[in-house]
Amino acid sequence: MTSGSRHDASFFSDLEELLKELLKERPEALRLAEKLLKAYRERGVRGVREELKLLIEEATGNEAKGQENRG
Amino acid sequence: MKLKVKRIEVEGFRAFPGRLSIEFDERLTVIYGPAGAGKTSIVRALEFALFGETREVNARLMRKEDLVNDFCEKARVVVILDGGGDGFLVERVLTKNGISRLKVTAGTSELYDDVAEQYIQSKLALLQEDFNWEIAVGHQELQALVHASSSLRDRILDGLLGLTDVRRLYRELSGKELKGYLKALRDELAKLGGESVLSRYEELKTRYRQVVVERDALVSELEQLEARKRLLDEERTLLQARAREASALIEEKGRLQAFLQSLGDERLARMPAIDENYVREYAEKFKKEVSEALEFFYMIREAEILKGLDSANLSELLKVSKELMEKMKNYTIKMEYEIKDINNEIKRLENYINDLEDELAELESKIDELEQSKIEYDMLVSKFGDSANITKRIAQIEVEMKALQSEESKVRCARDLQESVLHQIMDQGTATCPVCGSAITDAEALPKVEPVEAIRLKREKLERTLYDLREVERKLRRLEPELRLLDDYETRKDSLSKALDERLEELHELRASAEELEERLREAKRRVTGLLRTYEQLDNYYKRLRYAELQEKLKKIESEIRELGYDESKLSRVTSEINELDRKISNIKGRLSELENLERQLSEEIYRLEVIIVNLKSIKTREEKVSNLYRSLMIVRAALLDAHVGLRQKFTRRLSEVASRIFAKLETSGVYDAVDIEVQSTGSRGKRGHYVFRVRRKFDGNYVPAFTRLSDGQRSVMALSILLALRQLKPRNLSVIILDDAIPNVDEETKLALARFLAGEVGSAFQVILTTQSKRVAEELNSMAKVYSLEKIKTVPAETTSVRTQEHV
Repeated sequence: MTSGSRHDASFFSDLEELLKELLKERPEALRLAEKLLKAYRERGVRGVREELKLLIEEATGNEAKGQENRG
Repeated sequence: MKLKVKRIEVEGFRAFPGRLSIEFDERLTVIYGPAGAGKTSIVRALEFALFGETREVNARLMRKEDLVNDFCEKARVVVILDGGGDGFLVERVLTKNGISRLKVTAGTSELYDDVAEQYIQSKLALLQEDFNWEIAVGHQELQALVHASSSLRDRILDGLLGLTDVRRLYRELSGKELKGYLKALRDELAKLGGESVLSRYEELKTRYRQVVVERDALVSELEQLEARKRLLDEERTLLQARAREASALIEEKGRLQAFLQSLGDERLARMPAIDENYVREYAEKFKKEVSEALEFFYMIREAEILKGLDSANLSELLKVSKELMEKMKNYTIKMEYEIKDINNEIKRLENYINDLEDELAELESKIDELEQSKIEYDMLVSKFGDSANITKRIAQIEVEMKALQSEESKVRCARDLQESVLHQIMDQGTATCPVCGSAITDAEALPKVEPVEAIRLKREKLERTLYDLREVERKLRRLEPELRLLDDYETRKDSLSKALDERLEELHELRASAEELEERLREAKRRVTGLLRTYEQLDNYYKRLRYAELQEKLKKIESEIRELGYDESKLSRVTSEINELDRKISNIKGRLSELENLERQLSEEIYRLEVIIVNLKSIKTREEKVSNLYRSLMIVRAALLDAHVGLRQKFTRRLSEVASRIFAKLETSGVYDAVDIEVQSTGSRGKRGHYVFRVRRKFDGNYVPAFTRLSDGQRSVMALSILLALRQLKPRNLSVIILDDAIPNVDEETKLALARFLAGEVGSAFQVILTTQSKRVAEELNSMAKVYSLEKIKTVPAETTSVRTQEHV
């Protein structure tokens, strides 16, 4: 059990598989989905929020900050 | 790891003021008791021990401290979980004032409070919500599953299927924050001017390039013009040096040219040359004419001066003549004024004479009228005498008339007395004389009395005469002033006639004088006009002579200037060209200054725009990145929604299969044999759709809507089937199923069927704890399970520390 989700790995692998199938023609979106899913699996809603925050910081010019936080 | 509940000890918790201890069977434990016996309290005690609160507390339906029994100060629950070598003991205490303590004993370790909580969670991997829906299920959970609104049912089933995470994840990916950033960036872009800044920048760059090209061209042209000007300046300096050498001649030439210009250069140049002797004779004749004219104008002294002049000195002669002719002209003007004054005087005199004549005529008319009155007066005087005589006569007549009046009165009295006496005589035969008193008998004896009419006629005649005389007197008095006025008028007429004659004579003299002056003026003008013509002719002759002389002199000077090497026309050309160059250079410099200003302004504006564009590009890049991220996020979100639907379909397929098998065993009516959980989508992409329960009708094999076809009890059975199926499909660390009187609304047969199913198939996979009010069920399961009657357990005094926990019914 992690702090993120009460699910076992099979649920997330099912979901990941489905997303892979759905986003096979959208590699960028798929990468984003994987990132967010990983964050959720590991740290739950807070993880998703943090990941989104980092992505926004990277996109809005606070890349250094984003990288730093990511690092 | 499969954890099972080995034992629970409850003290002072909810329905239990005393202590209760129950040992659970590994497969099936039945807790039997009527309503209020405390069946649910045992289930909640387990929930409290594992999670620190119950679902009612979690839903804020009651306070945590209300879990403590009203007669106790604290509640204590001890749960022993057995998992092979992995079990642990949980002891949780809750005081009346809400203070809770937790202790976990795992092997030789004792953990407390937060650490203990974490330990329990790590072992169970179970949320309280999942415990309520999957582990310890009551009737209300089953009812909620089938009777909830479609959206609530969706949430419940998503939770049961473990899809809540997908929901949560979807909700988190709303992109609201990104949208806010996008809007802020777009606002910033719009504020900076967006695309229009770029077009403005390009426009300015083009304009800047044009300005630079124009400036370079002008600089080049300026250099050429200045080079040319330098050459011309040198040339002009040279020419000016030569001009200085010939300056006196040039000055003289200039004066001559100016003088020739004043003479009428071009006109005189066209005229033929004239003989000087002829001009002298003409001048002599002119002098004579002017002298005669001066004498005519009584300017004897001036005539003498003129005669003294030499005719050969034409300039002097013309000058003096001109002045004298001016004097003559002034003289004629003076004469004109004099004539004008005389004519005015004549006019004034004529007006005066006219006035006198008018007055005289009026006077004569009045005299005529008054003479008629004089005739009338004279006639009246000749007939009646003058007014004094008439007055006298009137006085006499008035005296006469008074005498007549007196006489008439006397006669009238006498006649009245006589008549009275006569009447007496006629009546009485006798009468008494009123005078002497004697008796009178004979009427004839009475004295004769003169008749009154005669006197009256006399008086009337006198009255008429008096009237006439008075009329005449009035007329005479009226006419007398007129006669006096007539005398005055005649005197005035004589005076006027005399004045008129004098003025007429004066007028005659003035007219004669005016005629004489006019005649003299005409003569004077004629002479002046003639002299002017002669003067002009002579002046022309003089100019022609002078022009020829000056031309000769000018040619000589020009020849001398040429000899000195001075070229005036060239200097003029050079100067003109230099001036023209100066003008052009000045224009170019002005334009260059404008261009420099413009270039500076453009440069500053371009720099400003470049800064904005850099900023703009940076924001644009960010906007694109954020936009891409937002787009990707929305794609992920949509995919997540599709994945959610996919997972629902996948899970419900498997769940339907297992639930159908269970439902077939529990559904005792024999009408339906399978359950189908379908996700009915609204059709449009991106919608999750709703869970719909259907059951298969045995006799025709058709699936029909569960909600409309099944009874309340059948729906509970269906919900239970689904939950049991879910537990089979989704293993948990806590391998327990607690059914807390889950289907009280079914018949005994169904309850027994459930009991058998739990004891058999389910009990082999899970530890089952069943609470029920049904005595028959308890009896049915007596041989297969540990059965506890709570009625009996509750009678145990609180003081006893050990409770007989197992009671076979």
